[in-house]
Parts: sequence; C-alpha cells; structure tokens
Amino acid sequence: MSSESALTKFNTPGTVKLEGERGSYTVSIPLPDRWLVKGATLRLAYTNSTALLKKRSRIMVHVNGSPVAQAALLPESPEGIMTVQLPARLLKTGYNNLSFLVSQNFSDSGCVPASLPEVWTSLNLFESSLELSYELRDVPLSLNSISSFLFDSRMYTENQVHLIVENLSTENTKLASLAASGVALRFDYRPVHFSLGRDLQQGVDNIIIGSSAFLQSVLDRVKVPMPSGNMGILHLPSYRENDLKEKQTFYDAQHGLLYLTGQNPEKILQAAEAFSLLSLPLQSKASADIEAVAVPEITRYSGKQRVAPGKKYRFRELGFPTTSFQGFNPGNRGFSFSMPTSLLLMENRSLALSFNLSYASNMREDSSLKILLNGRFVSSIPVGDVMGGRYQGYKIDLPLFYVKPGLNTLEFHAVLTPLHTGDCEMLQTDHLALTVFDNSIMSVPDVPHWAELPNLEFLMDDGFPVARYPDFRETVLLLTDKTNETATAAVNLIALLSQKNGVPPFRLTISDTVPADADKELLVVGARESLPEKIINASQLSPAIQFPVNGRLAGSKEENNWLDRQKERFLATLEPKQSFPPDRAGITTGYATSPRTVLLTEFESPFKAMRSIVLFTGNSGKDLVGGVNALWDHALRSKIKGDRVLIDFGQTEPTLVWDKTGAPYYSGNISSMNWLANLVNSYPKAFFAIMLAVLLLTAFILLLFLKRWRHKRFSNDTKPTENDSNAD
Amino acid sequence: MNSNKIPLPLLLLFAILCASVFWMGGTAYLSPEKQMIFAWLIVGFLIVGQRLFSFNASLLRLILMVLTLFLGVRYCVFRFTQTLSYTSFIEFFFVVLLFVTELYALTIQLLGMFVMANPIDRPLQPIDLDDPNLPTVDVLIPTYNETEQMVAITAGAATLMNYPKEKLNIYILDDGGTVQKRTDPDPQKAAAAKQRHETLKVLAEFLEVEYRTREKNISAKAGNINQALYGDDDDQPRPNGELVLILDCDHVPTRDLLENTVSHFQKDEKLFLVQTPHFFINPDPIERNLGTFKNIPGENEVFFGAVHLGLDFWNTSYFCGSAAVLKRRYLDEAGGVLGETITEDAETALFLHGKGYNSVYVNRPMVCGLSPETFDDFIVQRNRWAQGMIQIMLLKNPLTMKGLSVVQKICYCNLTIYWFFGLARCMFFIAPFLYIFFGLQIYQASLFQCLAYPIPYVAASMILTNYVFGSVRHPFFSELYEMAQSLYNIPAFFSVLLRPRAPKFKVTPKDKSLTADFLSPIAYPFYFLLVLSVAMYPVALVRLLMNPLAWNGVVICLVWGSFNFLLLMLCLGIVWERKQLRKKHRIPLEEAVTVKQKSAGGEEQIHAHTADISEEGIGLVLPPSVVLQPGERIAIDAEDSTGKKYTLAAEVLRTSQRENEMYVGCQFIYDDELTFLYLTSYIYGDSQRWADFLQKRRANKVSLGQGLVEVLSLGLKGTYHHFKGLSKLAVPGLKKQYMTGGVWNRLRSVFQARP
Repeated sequence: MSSESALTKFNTPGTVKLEGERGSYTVSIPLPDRWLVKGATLRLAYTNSTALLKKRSRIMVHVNGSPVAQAALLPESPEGIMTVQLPARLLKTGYNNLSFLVSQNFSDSGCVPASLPEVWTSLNLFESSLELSYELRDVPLSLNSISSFLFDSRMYTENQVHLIVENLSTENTKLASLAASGVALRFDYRPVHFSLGRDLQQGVDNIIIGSSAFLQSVLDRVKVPMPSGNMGILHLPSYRENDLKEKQTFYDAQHGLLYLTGQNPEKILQAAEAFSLLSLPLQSKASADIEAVAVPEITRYSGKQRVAPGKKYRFRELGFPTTSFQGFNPGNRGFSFSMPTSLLLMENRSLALSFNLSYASNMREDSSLKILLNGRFVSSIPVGDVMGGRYQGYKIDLPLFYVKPGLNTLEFHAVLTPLHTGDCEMLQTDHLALTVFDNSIMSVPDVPHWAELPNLEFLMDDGFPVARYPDFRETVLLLTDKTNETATAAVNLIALLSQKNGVPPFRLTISDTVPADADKELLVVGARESLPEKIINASQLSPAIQFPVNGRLAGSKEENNWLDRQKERFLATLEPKQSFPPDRAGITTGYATSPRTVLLTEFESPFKAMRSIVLFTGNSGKDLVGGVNALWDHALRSKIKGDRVLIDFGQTEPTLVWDKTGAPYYSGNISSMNWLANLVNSYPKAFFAIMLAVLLLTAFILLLFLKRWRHKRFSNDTKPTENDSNAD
Repeated sequence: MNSNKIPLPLLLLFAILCASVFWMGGTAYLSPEKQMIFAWLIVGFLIVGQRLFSFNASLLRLILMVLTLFLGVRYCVFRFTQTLSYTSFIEFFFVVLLFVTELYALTIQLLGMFVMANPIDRPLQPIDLDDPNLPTVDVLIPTYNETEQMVAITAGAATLMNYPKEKLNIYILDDGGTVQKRTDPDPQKAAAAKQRHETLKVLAEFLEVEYRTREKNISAKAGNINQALYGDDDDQPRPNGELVLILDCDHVPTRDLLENTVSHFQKDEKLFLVQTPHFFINPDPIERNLGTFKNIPGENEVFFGAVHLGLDFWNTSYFCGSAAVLKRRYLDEAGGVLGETITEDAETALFLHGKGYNSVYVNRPMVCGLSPETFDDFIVQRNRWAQGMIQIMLLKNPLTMKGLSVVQKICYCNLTIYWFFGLARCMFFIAPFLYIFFGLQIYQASLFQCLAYPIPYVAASMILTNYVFGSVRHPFFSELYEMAQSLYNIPAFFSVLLRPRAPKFKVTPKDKSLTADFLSPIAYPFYFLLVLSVAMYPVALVRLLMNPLAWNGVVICLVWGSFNFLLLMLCLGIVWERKQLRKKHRIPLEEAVTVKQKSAGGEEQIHAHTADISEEGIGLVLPPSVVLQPGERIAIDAEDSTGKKYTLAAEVLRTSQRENEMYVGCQFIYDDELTFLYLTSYIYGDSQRWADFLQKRRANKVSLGQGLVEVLSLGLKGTYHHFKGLSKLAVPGLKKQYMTGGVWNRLRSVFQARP
C-alpha cells in the first residue's frame, strides 16, 4: 500500500522561511503501529536566495536526527526540488522528526550578520510531499489493540469502519452511533467514514453490534465459531463465495472484526458503552465479559479541551507542562482550550492569565515573552532584567472579545536576545532561557450561556446546540426515513459531532417520528421528500424564505453602518457581517437540492422556542452519505458559517456555499425570563415600540392616580395650580 | 379626562399590567448593540417629548420620569448581572461599595421622582382683615447673638404686618440676654449681655412688643421658644394666641405674611402648619465666591422653589424653623417645639404629621433673611441640617413611625437619606482614582457598554433634572453644592451615626463683613484632591503605554475623573473667599421712582429707576443729563406693588456716568426713630418684590450644554482667582501688574516700543 500526502497535511504552514547563517524546520510525521513502512520518498520544493554563495550554502534533510540527504543551494537556480529516498529503518512507529536544515553563506569569510535580508531559503511545503509505501501488520487479537493499533490517530490516511447491525431500528442506530463515536474519538481528529450494513465488508475493519443470536448468524455465514464474551476482537473472516462453498474459513489478518453483543438489549448497550468509553490498555485477551460500565458524570463542560466559566485551570491541566524556552529562536509552545460556543463572551470580562515563570540572566532588555491568542499577538511580559528574574503570579487580562467561541490556541513565544550581538562576533546563545511553569493559571470568567442562533459554525466547533450537553441528553436524532443510507449518514454525523466535543452520545435519543417532548434540540436527517411538513415550513426550505442572491446592486459598495463602525472603534474587532444588507438582491422562491448536493441548515424549532433544529437533507439517502463523507473533511468543515450550507460533493474536491437568512433566535440561560430575552432580542423593533407605548401608558396611568389623589386632598380647598413654571 | 370616572379596580389593573411589563422590559437582557440603540432612542424621545407633550406639563413630567426610571432600572440590572464579579478581596470590596453607592443614588432619584411627581403652587388666599373671627397670632422672634439692629428690623417689620393689632402679639425671645449670660464669669461677656438685654428691652418698649428672656440657655432655639410658650420662671404672661408665627431673627417679614397664611387655618381644622419660603437677600458663599448671585438661582431655591411644592402635594410640607405659622393647640400636643434632634423644626413637623394633622406650603417669599457669609459658616449650617436629619432617621425612623401615611413616610425617607450624599459623592470622586492609580477595576464595564447603559441613563437623568428643576437649579450645580459639602459632611455624618444623641445645636453665624479676600480655613482637603486629579493624567498615560489593552478602562476613568476635576475647580473657586465690604446687602432692584431735586427754580422732578436697595441706601439710575453732586439731599417718591406710596429722604454719596445713564449712590437720611420703621416698610414690606427677584433669576434657565459651558467657565475663573489670590498671599510684594493683565500690558508696551 502506499500513500502520498502533501507536507501541509502534517500540520505545517504552506511556506517556511529559513533566515540567517543557519536555520531549520521540523515536520512531525506520525506513523501508526499498524503500518510496516517499506519505503518513503520525500519530495521537497524550496526557493533560495540568489545572494547565497554556492559552495558554502547547503540544504540538508534529517530523519530523526540522522542526515539522509543534502544539496547545494544554487544561486543560479534558486527554485529547487529535492527528491530523497528516506531509509525505512530510520522511520519508527510514533512521531518522526523530518527536519530541513540550511546553512547559508554569502561570503567566503563565513561571517553572516544575523539580520541580513538576503540570506534566506523558503520551503514550499504546499508543493512538497511524502510518499510512504507500507504494508498493514496483522491485527493483534487482544482488546488493548483497539485503541493502540486499530483506531489510531496517527493513521492520517482515509480510515473506514463498517458497522453491522441487525436492522435499522432506533435502538440499533443508537448502538451504532455509540460504537462509531467510540471509534471516532480514538481517531481523535482524523476523519473516519462509517458504513452501515447487515453483512461483513471486506478490506475494512468491521464491528458487529447486536444480540448474541445476531452475532451468531453473521458468523455462521462465514463459518466462524461463536466467540466468548460480549466484547471481543477477531481477524476479519473472508466471505468470498468460493471460500464459503469450500466450507473453509479464511481470515484477513490485516483487518479486525470487533463484536459488541449481549443476551439482552441492556447487555448490548453496556458493551457498546464500554467500547465507546474505554481504552482497555491492560486487557490483552481477545474478548471480555462486560459486567458493568460506570459512565462518568457528564456536565456541560465535559469533553475535549473544554473549559468552564468561573473556573481556574493550571496550565498543566490544559496540557501545558513546565516548558523551557532556550536559545535564540526557541519557537512557540502553547495549548488549546475550547470555550463553549454557547457562552456569552461579554465585552467587560477578561480571561485572566497568571504566570509563574523564571528567566535567565544576561539577556538584553528587549527580551520578552510574547503571548499569542489564535496566532495574534495580544500581550507580552518583559524579561529583560540583566540579572535574571522570576515572576510569581504575573497577571495579564485578555478581554473576552479577543477569545473566539470554540477552540482557541494560546501560544507563548520567547524572544530572547543575548547581550552581545555584534556582527561576526562569537554569539553565545546557550544561556538564553525562560521557563513557564505548569502551575501558572488561566482563569475563565463567569459568564452566562447565551448565544445568538442560528449559527452552524458553533455546530462545527463543538456541536452546539445539538451537543449542548456533550452526551446529547437534550437532543433527539430524528430519522425521517428508514433507509440504510439515512441511518449511515446519521451515524456519521453523530460520530463527527462526538469527535468534536469528545464525549460519546450516551444519552442521545433517536426517533423516527417527531418526539412528543418538544423541549429538545432536534437533529433531523432524511431525504427531502420524507421531511415533516411542519419542519419544512419552519426551515429555510420554506417557500416563504427570502434568498439573498449573490450579488449587489450595481455600483453599490458594502458599508458598515454607524453602529458597526462605533463597535469596531471601541472593540478593535468586528465580526464579519453575516447578514445581507438591504442593497443586495433577493428572491423569494421554493428551494430544492440537486443530486450530489446536501443541505445543512439550522433554525428555531417550531415545537419549542429557543430550541433548535439542525436539518441535514438531500435528494436521496445516497446524497446524504456522500454529503456526510464530505463533511469529515476538516478543510471543508472549517468553511461552514451562517445558517444554511449547501455542500456539493459532485466535484473532485467538495465545495460549499453558505448564507444566513433565517430569523435570529437565542438560546441559553441569561435571566429568570430567558423566553423574554429571546423574544426581545429576536424582535428588537417590536420590543422598542411596545416598551415605549407601555412607558407612555404608565405615565398616563400615574397621572390619573395623581389626579385622584389631588381630588381627594384638595376637594375642600381652593384648587392649587400644578406647578409647571419649571417647564420650558 | 376625569380620573374619578374610571373605576379604581380598572385603574389598578392597568397599573399592575404596566408595572409588570415595565419590570419585564427593564430586566430583559438585550445585547449591548440593541441596548445602545434603545437607550439612545429613549434619550432622543426625552428631548423630542418635551415638545410633543408640552401641552400637559404634568403628563410630560411623568413621562420623563418613567422613561428615566426605566433606563435606571435597566442600568441597575446590567450592573448587578453583568459587572459584579469577584476578582480579589480588595477589588471586590470597592466594586460592591461603588455599586451600593449607585443604588443609593438611584433610590434617591426614585424618591425624588415621587416627591416631585406633581408639585403644586397654591394661589394666595388673603384673609379678610375686617373679619372679627380672625385668630389671635403670637409672633415669636428667637434671638441669640444677632445684632440688636437685626432684631430691631425684624421686630419692626413684624409690627407692620397687615393684621389687626389687637390680635397680634409680638415677642422678642432673647437668648443672648439670659440671666446666665448676664452673669457670665467673663465680665466683658456679662457686660455685653447686660447691654444687649437693656437695649432690646428699650427696643421692645419702643416697638410696643414683648421682650422675653430666661434664666438659662437650655435646648437652644427650641428651648427658647418653649420657655416663652410654657415657662414659669417669671411672672410675665405667656403667649396664648391661637396661632404662632415663628421668625428667625434675621428673617424680616413682609406686610402680607399673616394675610396670606392665616386663611388656610380657617379652612382646614386639622391644619397645623403653613410654611413659607426663606428668601435670602445676600449671596451664600458659593454664590458670592463664584459670582453667580444675580443670574443663577441660589442653592435653597431647589428646596423652597420646587421640592417643597412637591412635598405639599403629598401633605408633607414641613416646618423649616422660621417663616411658618403653627396652630398653638397642636403645638401644645407636641409639648412645644421638640428638641431631641438638632433639627427641631422637622422633628416637630414629623410628630404632628404622625398625629394626622395637615400642613400647607404657600409659595410666596414673605420673609427676607441672610445666608451664611463664609464657606465654613455655610458648612456649619449644612452639617447641622445633615446631622439633624440623620438623627431623625435614627431616632424617629419615619418608615416605622405610626400615624404617618405611606406617602409621608416616603417623603420623609427621602428628606433624611438624602443627607448621605457626602459618602456617595466621595465614592464617585475616588472611584476613577482607584483604577488609574492602583489598577483596581472597580467598574467592570467596557466603553461600549458604558455608552449603552450608564451614559444614556445619566443623560436622561440630566434632561429630567433640568426639566424639573431647571428654573431653580442650573445644570451641574447640584453636583457642585454636594461636592463642596461632601468632604466636611462625612465626619459629621459618622459622628452622628456613632452617637446619635451627641450633636449640639450650633447657631449659624450671619451678617459678617469680610474685609479682604482670604483662603477658607477649611480649604485644604481640596488641595489634596487637586494633586490627585492633576496627577491622574500622566499616570493614566503611563498606564495606557504600559498596557494598551487597558485603554477602555483608562478612557472611562479619564472622562469620569475629568468631570470630577471640573467640580473640584469650582470648589477651589468657592474656598477662595471674596471680600464683602458692604455692611448691608444691596438687593438688585429695578423699580420706577421719581427723584425730586431742589433747584434754583424750585423743585425739579426726574423720572428714574432704582438699581439696588439696602437698609442704608439706594442706587438710582438717572438720565445722563441730570446733575447731582455728592452731599446733595434729594427726595425719592416710590410706590410698592400694593400701591403704597413712599417719600424717602436721601443724600447723594457718589455719582458715576455710565453708558447713556448716570448711576447715583445715595444714603437714606434717618430723621427719627419712625423713619426706621418707614424705611423698613418700604424695603422689606413688599413680598412681590422678592417674588419678582426670584422670578427674574429663574427666568435664566439654561440648557445642559449651556450649563456645562457655564460651570466650565466658572470653574476656570474660580481656579484662576484662587491661585491668583494664593500667589498674592505667598508673595506679598507681587503687584497686580505682574498678574496676567499686567504682564500683557508690559508685553504690549514692549511690542509697541519696537520700530
């Protein structure tokens, strides 16, 4: 088997510029246990400066520290491509450092000033690639191989898993969703495509979920004896017709067959939950009897990298160990955290960082620790005391409007400069050091849950609103038809959302009819024809919805209104406008998807205010499967915005268009009268008008009361005049 | 619309519905953008509404109040739900302190709205002076250390009041000539007291009024009055009239005081009090030092020109110590003027309101009094009021007092807790410093949120205040008066809080003559604040440079601090006491008179008008062609608003030519004792004159923008005069020519000398 991947697939930028006398850049190449690498070919594209001295400028490739190739950087031929056969023996399971080093000179003296702009080489990682040829190793028949071998986040190629259920009942779909989520979570952030069927599928890993009788029936078809336990692993049996006729059982040892079974539905659910949840690293047996499963308490803030409002986190809890930055250009280190998208990121609240750090002596006064939030500089800490120093609780407040809903990355970049930096002087940089301790603290302010919806970006960030609770306890998955394709699409969608929020859908409810309990979020999956009328009418498929046409009135320019400009002035940031200004053309028409396209929309539930419906629909179940497979692509997902997304997967590369046309509504818990907050924010003009009228009426009623009082008090008196001498 | 035709239950139902929607709308969360639009829409409506609803002033006032209150509620909810978060103990302490201060301010505003919901101006109801059933009236003039001349004028003016003489008894109650005073161990003091005693006795005899004094000075003014009413330490008959008019010694009554007040007692059997406003002839120190007396309404006009009208509507007009007529029978029920607190007047009124009796306020200035002359005297007076009202709150607690109606409880509650303003004002002053100097984020709101919540609310409050009080209080003057008092108010506040019965009555010194400019001895705290305010700007700049992320907070605090700085500049102007050479205050007055000048051909009559008037003399404006020499005697024919004619003999002191007119300063000629009464009648007898004076000042209502310019200008001028004066004190040889004008003149001469 072989795979060729652009180097950008390994979490690298498109281009990397190496400057100065020496420079290097390292790409981390993951290799899973499952792959037995036979060979690897690197194709490295680069551009070097024409000012370099040919005989003293080199580019080298190292694998895990061993040099494997080098080439001269030619000034007369600045655009180079280096093709290197990487020795398979140097590539190990795990993460491999593929390093590109340059030594760059432009004069015979060997003296290159550090800041000379002509001395550079640019690595074009977009155009560079790594081709691996490998074989799949045999699957070890032990339960601990499920997470360390079968479903491994280091497998960066297309991953596919086949789920086998007895039928498409809601119970089985729930079990399939649990199992799929368990797999997706093990793959961490890698895409994995699930298919659903009643029979084994060759060439991919399979998971059978169902009763013992169903497991027996599936295995009987391939002449495999019934295994023990209610969770286990086998090699994938072959079911080629010829093999079966010869009554011989063949196994595909390179793929696994997992089974999650039990004597009764509870036991099957137990097995599925155990599978979705547990890694079983110490379980070397091929099967196990699951006696009981204790699912941990799931809160709104459980899950992948999610932080909770009003809490303090040590950096180590956020995945940042005590880290030393050493040398001249020690690079960025940091951590990611997910700010629940349902939170109201209030302008007057701050994310408070309290740093514990120490830094070395003999650094120049312009040394500092830069703090970057989502790649943007936000603050810095001076570390320029020549005697060195230590900070205990150095506080930095980052206004919450710097933080984006969903995943954020906080990075630290130590800019350390030695005291002596003269040209062609011996430059000692080994003493440059700064350590950020893992007991530094990030305090998340206490802010309420309140989000303006619809917003599919939130859905793609952390599953909100359908994964408001990460175990989907407030969500009903509504399957509007009972085809295999619809169920497959739904299972993929749930697995995808689970992978985003980090928790399997333990408490997801699946239904094939509109649920009686309307106070739930609805995830609706089904072909266009099968959708309930009430849902269609509430959605952006309703013919009453106005469609903005992608074009402006001729000659008109987009303008921010006065309020936007003031907000931009005062907040320094302005979210891109997602609504269509009135000078855009619009049409009102019905809406229908074409083949090989799917529509993902979000809108307020017609059954309960402040609840959402996320609708995933297409012309047919086949389109739904194609659409959900396209959604597994991170690059495509990252483009999703607005409240309506049309995904076209009929082309070589799937594409999407989005817009925002639905009426806004709100979700959350901001006051004792959330319904009112939703109403007034959704219909502000009506609110303004009503309130003004009520206030005027209040004044009038007060006047009537005062007149009554006046009449009572002065009935026997000469009537005093109302003192209006103060009025204009 | 006749409100009585609408069934009360229906009205209540609507009220409950409106209140519910008001509350829901006030507490509903709005995104900052929408809130900003909404809040400024309301502010816009407040401006436009003043024209739209100008046809009904009562309705308009209520509309402005309701809209402002709505913004206030929204702001308060925002502060409570979105800005109070714990960060550190010290920070949170101030966060809560500031929030409590704001809640106090909102409460005061709400209570103020209630009081001012429907101020009423009663028409004058003169009595029939020939009515044989008119009640007998005792006029009590308590005096302590005021000059004999002042007593003479007040008592003399009292004898001139339009009321049947047989039903009017006037008593000078002299606490400065008591036995205790006359036997003072200090012979000088004893001699002075004896002399005063004898002089006032002679005066009383001349005026045919009663003179009373007592053994000991106990319980200050209340004790003096009660001794006169109920004492038994001498054999003199006690006042036993049906009504009692109490006049402070410096409160000279006009002739119609009883005429316009007694009728109310005839109409309402349960009436215990008719209060009238206190009109002051002289500027208070703030008015004098800032030079605002002529054109800007005085400090007490808010109370007597607006608040008391509101209190009257709610039957809570209360006794202000003077210029008030009380029913003796009800006063007896209280045991006389109560003296548990040092605001005996309000305490007595509270007691009698609690008994179910009524009060009335007649909005006609019918006494002419004196304000304190110096800033420290002013502070002494205000601290007494503050301590007294807080005593009432602590010792009498109107909220729990039996007999008071709910509305009276609310009104008295407003009157008492208002005096906490010193604490609030200080908190508002130091709040921006806490952030600028110490980095304490005690106001956790972004600039955008400030523009959406507090600023429109403050703007609305200012619009409302300017509408309700604009004619009696120019914009930002309330803040100025409070700021000027607050620093000195706090020690007095805490002392009464800790020992509610400890405060003693301190007589406010009046009628002082200030011979030179000087720095008020209590001015020093303002220098400390000045240093902080000036230092605020560079520190803020440094904070901004060090932490650009903090610009939001820095801008908010700078704007806030700059407003405080403006008030501080005004305070600096106030504590630089300007000289007051004139012994008697001249009242600006423009009335037609005829000047009779003796000439060779007989007597020439010249039509002129007055410029000002005092007990000592009169300023006249004549045509420029008239020739008058200093020392020349003239006669002035004048007429007051009642048609009473006067011929006044005067001597020309000085003349000065002005644009198209000549100003002549004259001194009255006192031929005999009766001239004194004649002049008193002319100068102090006509209440219309005081009403016109107030009306003229109140006509100068300004907009908020004009008000800001006005205080800015006054602040700059005041600060300039302050430091100019200080520099003169510091460098005695520094002459005027070295100050700005002189410097410019010197420079100009240099420029002019160039070829």
